[in-house]
Amino acid sequence: MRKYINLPQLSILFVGIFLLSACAEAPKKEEKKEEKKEKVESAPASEQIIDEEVSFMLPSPIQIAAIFNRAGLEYKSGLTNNPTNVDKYNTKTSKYLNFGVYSADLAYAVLNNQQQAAIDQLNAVKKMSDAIGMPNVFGGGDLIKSFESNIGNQDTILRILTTIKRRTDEFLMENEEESKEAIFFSAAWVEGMYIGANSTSGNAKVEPRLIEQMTILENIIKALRVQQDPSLDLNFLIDGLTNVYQTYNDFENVRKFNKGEIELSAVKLSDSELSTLTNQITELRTQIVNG
Amino acid sequence: MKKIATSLFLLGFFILTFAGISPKPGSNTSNNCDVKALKKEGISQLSPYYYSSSKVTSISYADTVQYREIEVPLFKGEKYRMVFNSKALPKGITVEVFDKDRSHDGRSALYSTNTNEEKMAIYEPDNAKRHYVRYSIPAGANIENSCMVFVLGYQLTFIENTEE
Repeated sequence: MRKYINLPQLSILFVGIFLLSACAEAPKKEEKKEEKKEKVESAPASEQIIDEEVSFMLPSPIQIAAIFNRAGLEYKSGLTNNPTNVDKYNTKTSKYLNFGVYSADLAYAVLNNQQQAAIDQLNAVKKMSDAIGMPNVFGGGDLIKSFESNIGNQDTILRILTTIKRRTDEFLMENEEESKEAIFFSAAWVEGMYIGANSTSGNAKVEPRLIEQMTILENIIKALRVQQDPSLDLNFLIDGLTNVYQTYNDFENVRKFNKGEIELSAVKLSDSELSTLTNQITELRTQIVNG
Repeated sequence: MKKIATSLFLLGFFILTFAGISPKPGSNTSNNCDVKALKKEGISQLSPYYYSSSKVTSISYADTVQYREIEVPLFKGEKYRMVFNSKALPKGITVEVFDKDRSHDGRSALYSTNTNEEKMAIYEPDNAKRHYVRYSIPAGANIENSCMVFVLGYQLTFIENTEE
């Protein structure tokens, strides 16, 4: 006599198989946990370390410009991206990147009390902001008016710049595009380094500030690599920054620093090393501003 | 027929129970996290410092203690203020600030606070170099996911501050 399995028996069988497979999974999870624990600081057995993919902050481009300014960087008008170039940026990538470039130039002009240049750069930042689709950053033109009427008051102007930065962050957050801050920042960083590197001659205080900025380059590259917007072409930027990073890390004093043999403050670059770094940054910056 | 219905019910119950939807660690979030408002509150604590940047971290409670770490670049000679707004958190976490990353054994915290005691914690580092902020999230079951808002401010000491 043939015996068929009835439905209650079948459901018990399913549940049994499910429970067995669940039990079989459990040790794997524990193994993973153990592997991870070995890499991190001594954590109690019941603890688990969970990290964000990219868990770091990027500084404000305004602050970087301020740091260079305090180191005695002199204003050279020809170094900044010409505001009339705004109309030539037709691709999404070039708009995003040059929003960052003009932001850095704006901070450079403001910190050096270059009033007309600051107004021109601000208008360029606004045009780029509109082109990207962030018109609210400028609050319907109120910020521009406030900027122009307070142009002689550096503290107020800097607060206006930080308002632009804050509103940009808010816009990205509200649109779940926070990661794109890294695109603006990377271009602003390249521009700041370009201005700094091309103004260092005879200024011993600027060089340590350039070296200090190199310490955040690794995180900038990481932040660009996690970008997932296929409509942005960032490969040239990632490659260029990676080259700069590798070149820098191959310098003798930097190798010593990376091995823990000397402090960052003891890292000095030769004229030739500084020139190599400057050339690579200049080349990358040219690619960015050429769109 | 009754047997079939009971069997199907049992089968469905077990599948839903054991194959159920468990929250992924670090998954977002939370209806109780008004990031914009929390950030605004944090920024209001910065003055006279300038706003630099912010970091919103999703906090999900699990059956184990979890850590989250944020690397914060600070530049030599500059002054900074860190503001941690934990008002959205249903259960307190520990916030610690280190000047070494977690690969350093025995690193000690420069600053530590529990958000049960301080909903809006403020820390100003003495020495501006790279810092690491660590959140220790206690174990907890059935606690709604939420978020922690960290706002960083910097001071430009050479700028005359005209703000009231």
